Amino acid sequence: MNPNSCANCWFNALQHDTVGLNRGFCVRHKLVLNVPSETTCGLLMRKDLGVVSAERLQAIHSKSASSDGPSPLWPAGSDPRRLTDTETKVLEQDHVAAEVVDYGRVDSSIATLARLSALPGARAEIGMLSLGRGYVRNCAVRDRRWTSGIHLFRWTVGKLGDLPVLEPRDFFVSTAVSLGRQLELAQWSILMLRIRMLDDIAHHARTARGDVAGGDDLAALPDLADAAAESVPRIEPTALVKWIRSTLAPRLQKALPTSAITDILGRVRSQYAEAA
Amino acid sequence: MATDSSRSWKKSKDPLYRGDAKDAVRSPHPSASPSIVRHVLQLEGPGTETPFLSTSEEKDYAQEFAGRNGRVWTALASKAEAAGAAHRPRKDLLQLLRSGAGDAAWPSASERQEARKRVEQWAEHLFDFQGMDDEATTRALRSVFE
Repeated sequence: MNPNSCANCWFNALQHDTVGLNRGFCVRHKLVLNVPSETTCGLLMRKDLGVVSAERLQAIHSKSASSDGPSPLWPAGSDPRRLTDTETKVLEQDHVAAEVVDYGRVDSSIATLARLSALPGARAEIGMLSLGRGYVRNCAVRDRRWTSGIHLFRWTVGKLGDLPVLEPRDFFVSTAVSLGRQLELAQWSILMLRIRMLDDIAHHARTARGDVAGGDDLAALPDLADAAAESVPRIEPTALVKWIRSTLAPRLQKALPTSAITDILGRVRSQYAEAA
Repeated sequence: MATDSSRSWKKSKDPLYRGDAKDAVRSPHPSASPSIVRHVLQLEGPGTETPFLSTSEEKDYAQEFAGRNGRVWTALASKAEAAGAAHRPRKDLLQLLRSGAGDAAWPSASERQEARKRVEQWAEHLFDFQGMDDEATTRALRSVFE
């Protein structure tokens, strides 16, 4: 899977690593991606990177790739019409895809994210984390409030120490390793995606406007994905879950205790009420 | 169905595969940064210039990079070495990316780990063209890839 393809972009919430449907959906361009590993665009935000690296790469990539829509990674001879579709009816038969297609359309974005968070299964979680990373960045860029990500913080922390559950039908591609090892690598990738979500929120807390209180200890956290990689160098999901439960979760609880989350939730609700 | 090629690939007899353009394998850049992480993760975008060419033990994975308009090229590691390129096998890459030594040095441990996951997942080997001049590189590409 090409790392700079739509298959690896957080605006395509239907795939991550080797997990997902065999088609994607781009919430920016509102298009079904028929071969997401063969397309890209200048808005690419890579899911396998932290937000700073993803932004850096997007800035480079946007100079050579159009942001108007998905285009072939190898332009010569490709027919772009074959690679995307506007019709979503068949795709929406899948319950996760139905939510992803609906993102930002009928209900508010956060309502869709809440529903994805409540749906069982790894693919729903991938949907929530992919779109959620875009959501918190969008809020941070728009008004420099990291607190808009408080729900996503809470939902992600709630599942942080759970080993993702995957079945063979969750994979859209086979790889060079055995199915058992493919499952482990996919579980590890989802665990790291959770950690990257929390890293993103901490990053936005660092760059938040001065009148947004409550994020100082969160902002002071080191890069959590790097800490995970240094503490658990083996790519083994059970070892990573052990570290998450023994080290990361307590650290996060200290940085942003439940009482502080409750307080922030109250403030966010007031902001929405004032804006309405 | 893909087998566990980590047990079965043999340098002396098994080929490596590369997906690329139909008419020719795109040239590496021998004088570019030799960072393995930068290459595997393509951190300068598609077409990131590196002194490496990626190959895979798995033909299906190489097809991903060939796309619909490219083709899968075949190469033997021994031929690449005879032409002056170094063969950096999957096992060596995994070890280097775990330790962060040499060309696998990288400031972000998680990005280095992500690169390691990719190398394992896609049974990746590299042909390393560091130190070769343009003429030797062009000759090597013609003789190595079929």
